[in-house]
Amino acid sequence: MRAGLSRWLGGYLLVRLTGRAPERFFNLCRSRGIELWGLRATPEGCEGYMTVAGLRQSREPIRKAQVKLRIRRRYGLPFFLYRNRKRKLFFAGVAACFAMLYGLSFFIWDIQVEGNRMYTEDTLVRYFGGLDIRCGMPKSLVDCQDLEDSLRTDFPEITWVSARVSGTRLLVKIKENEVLSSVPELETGPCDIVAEKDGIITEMIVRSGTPQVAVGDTVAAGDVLISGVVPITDDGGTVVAEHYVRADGDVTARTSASYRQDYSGWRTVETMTGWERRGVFLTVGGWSLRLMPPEQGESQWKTATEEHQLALTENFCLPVWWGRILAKEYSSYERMCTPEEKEEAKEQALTEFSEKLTEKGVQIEENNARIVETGSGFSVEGSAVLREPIGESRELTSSKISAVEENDRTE
Amino acid sequence: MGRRVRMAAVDALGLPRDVVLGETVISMEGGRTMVIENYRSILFYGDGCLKLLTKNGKISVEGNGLMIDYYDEESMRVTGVIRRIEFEEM
Repeated sequence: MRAGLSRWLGGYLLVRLTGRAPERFFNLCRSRGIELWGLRATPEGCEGYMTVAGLRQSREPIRKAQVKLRIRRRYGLPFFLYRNRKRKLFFAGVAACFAMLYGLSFFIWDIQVEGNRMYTEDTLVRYFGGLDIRCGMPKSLVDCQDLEDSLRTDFPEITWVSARVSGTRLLVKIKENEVLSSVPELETGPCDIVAEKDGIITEMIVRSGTPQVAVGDTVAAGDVLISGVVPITDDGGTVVAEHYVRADGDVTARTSASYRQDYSGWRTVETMTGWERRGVFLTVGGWSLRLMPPEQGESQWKTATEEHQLALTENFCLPVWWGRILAKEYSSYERMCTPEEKEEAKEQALTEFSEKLTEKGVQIEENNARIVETGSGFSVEGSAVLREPIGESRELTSSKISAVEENDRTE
Repeated sequence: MGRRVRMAAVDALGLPRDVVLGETVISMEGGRTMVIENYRSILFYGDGCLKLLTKNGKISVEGNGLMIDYYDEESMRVTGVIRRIEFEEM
């Protein structure tokens, strides 16, 4: 490829050799490093290609081998330029093209963001727009350091930013924080553990505090399960003092939960009619051309566009976009839901409910759902028996603490 | 180092013969392309025949429409319909 380009730039010739010993000529050229390729024996003599520089060096081999060398055809840039030397407008066009490319290389024509997971490219490009960084702006006005600082300041989850201009492309590479940005503070004040919801205690582990309920007890939401007040008794069993601790333990209970999800009794169905419209578009800077058959009547179309940007090299993008458009006609209508679809909705509601609870570590003992017809549609109602942790911390109020302290002093 | 010594070294040490003794290497892709390495000079070239001089003898390639794609100090690539290759020791 490179050799071919170099030959084309320097110019090369198709030559015909006639004479007594073309083989000797080939061997002499070989020993002198004169390039010959594509040799072919014809009835008129041997034909092959050689470079212009090679032809200049081959005078001595021609004389020694007693061959005649005739140029049959000329190829390459020098000959092309010579042949078209009178086409001034063509050369002016080529020069204008290069001048335009040179001019376009001073602007940003593409912004590429890499490494983003939490923030979409659209969000970041819109943010860049707010900083006056957009496609079509001069490269000299892009302050990469400033852009990096702004990104780090305005997006705390972005921990590392690298912005650079390569060719006509602005490349922004980011890394987002994947761990907690702050460690939650551990609370140490005295507290009770109370029931979050109604249920029957199935399992209880107390690490600190005084248990107030036992396995098998029925509790209501708000009931104290583990008290943060630890009584100190004497030998007679009389409370002589009370200590306040942060109650800690795991309390699991059998609870019941219900859920309901409403659905419309009508379903919108979109069917493709089979009609398609295909088109192409070309956008150059702010000017756009779209070639596509027109729509007929009031029909609905789903359109998909495939867009490409013209790039001379990987990072030398130009403000030229082109692509194909495919529009498919569809018609939509509403119909009543079938029993199968209702069943499907029920199954979906069941699965969603189960998945949501399983993620939280809740065990499901029973889960039943049924379809209830309402006036305009139907709803899926379900009830489930769960086994879940129900304890939540509740700080001991200062009045309660002072009352207990007062009681201690009296005693 | 004499040729006999070099041949003994090649046999004893398992050295490549083309590197040590300068023997010709011929690689073929089907019956249409051939690369010849370690040749000395072109003796004859015609549409149906190509004769080369090598260190140990002559190689004759026969076929139809033989074309020398490229050739340099080291190797030569020949394309065309190759029917026969003949070795002639000197």
